[in-house]
Amino acid sequence: VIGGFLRWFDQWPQWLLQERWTVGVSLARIGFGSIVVCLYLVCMTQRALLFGSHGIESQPAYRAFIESAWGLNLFALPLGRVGDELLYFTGLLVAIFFTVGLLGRPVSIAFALFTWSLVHRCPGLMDGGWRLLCIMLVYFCFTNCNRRFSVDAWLRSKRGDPPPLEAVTMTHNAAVIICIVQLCIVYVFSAFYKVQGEPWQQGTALFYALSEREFSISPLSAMVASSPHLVALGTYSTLLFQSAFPWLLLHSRLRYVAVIVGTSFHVMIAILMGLQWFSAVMIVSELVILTDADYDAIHRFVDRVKAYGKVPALPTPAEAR
Amino acid sequence: MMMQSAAVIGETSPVSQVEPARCRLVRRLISLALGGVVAFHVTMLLIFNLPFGPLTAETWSLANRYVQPIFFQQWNFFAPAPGGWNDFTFVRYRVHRTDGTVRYTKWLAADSIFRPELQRNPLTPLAIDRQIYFALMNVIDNDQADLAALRRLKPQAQPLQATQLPDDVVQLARLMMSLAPTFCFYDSKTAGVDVSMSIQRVPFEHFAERFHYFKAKHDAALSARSVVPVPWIAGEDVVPLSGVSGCIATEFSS
Repeated sequence: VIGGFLRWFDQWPQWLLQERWTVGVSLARIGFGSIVVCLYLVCMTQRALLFGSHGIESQPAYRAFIESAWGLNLFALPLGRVGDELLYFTGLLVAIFFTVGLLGRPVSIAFALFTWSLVHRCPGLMDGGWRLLCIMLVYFCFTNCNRRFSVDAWLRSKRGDPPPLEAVTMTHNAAVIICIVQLCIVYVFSAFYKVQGEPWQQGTALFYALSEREFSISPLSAMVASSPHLVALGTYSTLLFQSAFPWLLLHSRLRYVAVIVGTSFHVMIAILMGLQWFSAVMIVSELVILTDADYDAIHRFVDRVKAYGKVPALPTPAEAR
Repeated sequence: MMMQSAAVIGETSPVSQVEPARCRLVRRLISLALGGVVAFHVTMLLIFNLPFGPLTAETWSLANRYVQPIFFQQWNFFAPAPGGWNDFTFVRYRVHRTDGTVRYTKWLAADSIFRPELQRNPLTPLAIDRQIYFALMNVIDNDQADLAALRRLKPQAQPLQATQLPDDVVQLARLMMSLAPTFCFYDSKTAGVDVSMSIQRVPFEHFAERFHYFKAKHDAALSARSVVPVPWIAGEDVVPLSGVSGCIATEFSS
């Protein structure tokens, strides 16, 4: 054990120095940014009532509420009607900049601040998905999420900029580790609390979850709730997947299983329970799990699939000779 | 590998030997600091998420102070058991006239009126009881006069005195209180308005009731559940909301 620790201690700096997870983090940046842009657009017509100074939650009441927890919220600033509007559209602009990957870390920090403020300003908005998004965005402030698929990356390649500083790369890797651990915590604790409940042990919990009017918005949910076998299968597979999630990440092949099953699981939650935003945040968060090598392998696999069935070109007479 | 590279550099230039050694030290210090930060953060998250117990008792307040402001989280979705009932919420307004008479509006099924809105707009970020807000907001936004009235009323609204009610019901009550102008017709003879709320809580059909073949095995569980009453939440069928009458009377009594 001591030998292993010493080896790890020796290799840890070198391991941190190599930039990892750049593709996953960049894809997650686009995903998170798109989700928040959609939120701004969906709430556009109700923005004054949801987030404004004289909205559902009046500013004095809201300020009294946040004083106990965290005293900073941009949307609680006494800016008046024009200021509220300005803030809303600035937030939308920052979200668009973040999505396309423009202006690097300052925009990442501004985006985290604006999103945190927006979601917390209207308590009715808050659910597990938005909570996870706000936490992930804090971690994303320390990642190089603009390394790929971004305007910044395009500009860097055009200018021929040098790679980032070693300390920046090391911080990026540490932040991504925290993102992945955070995701594991979500799943493990979700399973941990579920297994203590009688309906989850009996395999009937899905029936009760789908019986809540809040989560029975689709005809499919009634269909699933009416089949005891589907209910039991759904309940037990949820428990199995959530408790197995961190262990699946330990093996390179099983990571794909974690992502595929996780994505299917959240697509089903979106369809059956109407939790589209929560599902979107969870699916996007899972993009971080796969390493750059994994994404390269997926890319090669897609290329092979595309090439499959195509008739190879006949050799020219010169080549045949 | 690091030792090898240092040796090679050392052989090539005695001056550069100092620089990589310093770099290595800085690198190691940074990596140690980052490792420490990761370990501390993850430990705090674990302590915060675990139930209060022997393992977490001594460190929980530290974890709470660290996690609560920015990293607050709770991942017990539908655990340990999903909810066992649906709440049906009805509201009605009592309008006091200046001539001393009182009029009542009909009971409004606050949550079922707006259900079609949810079906039409599944992309809305609000959960279903919050969908009610959303649907109402659409109504209000379409009517600028009502929106203006709501905005005038809002700063004077009093907090709801109904601490036993679930949070979402309290939120709904506050909203309905704010929305009184939308549902009542005000004129010069309106002296004030009360809002009353009725919540009917209906437990779900038990799994064993739905699937009879399952019943024999779970009679015990069934009998335990079937004693759950179907209550009206407070008093009779009405929960009066304090502070509403004065607020609206002030606004509209002229």
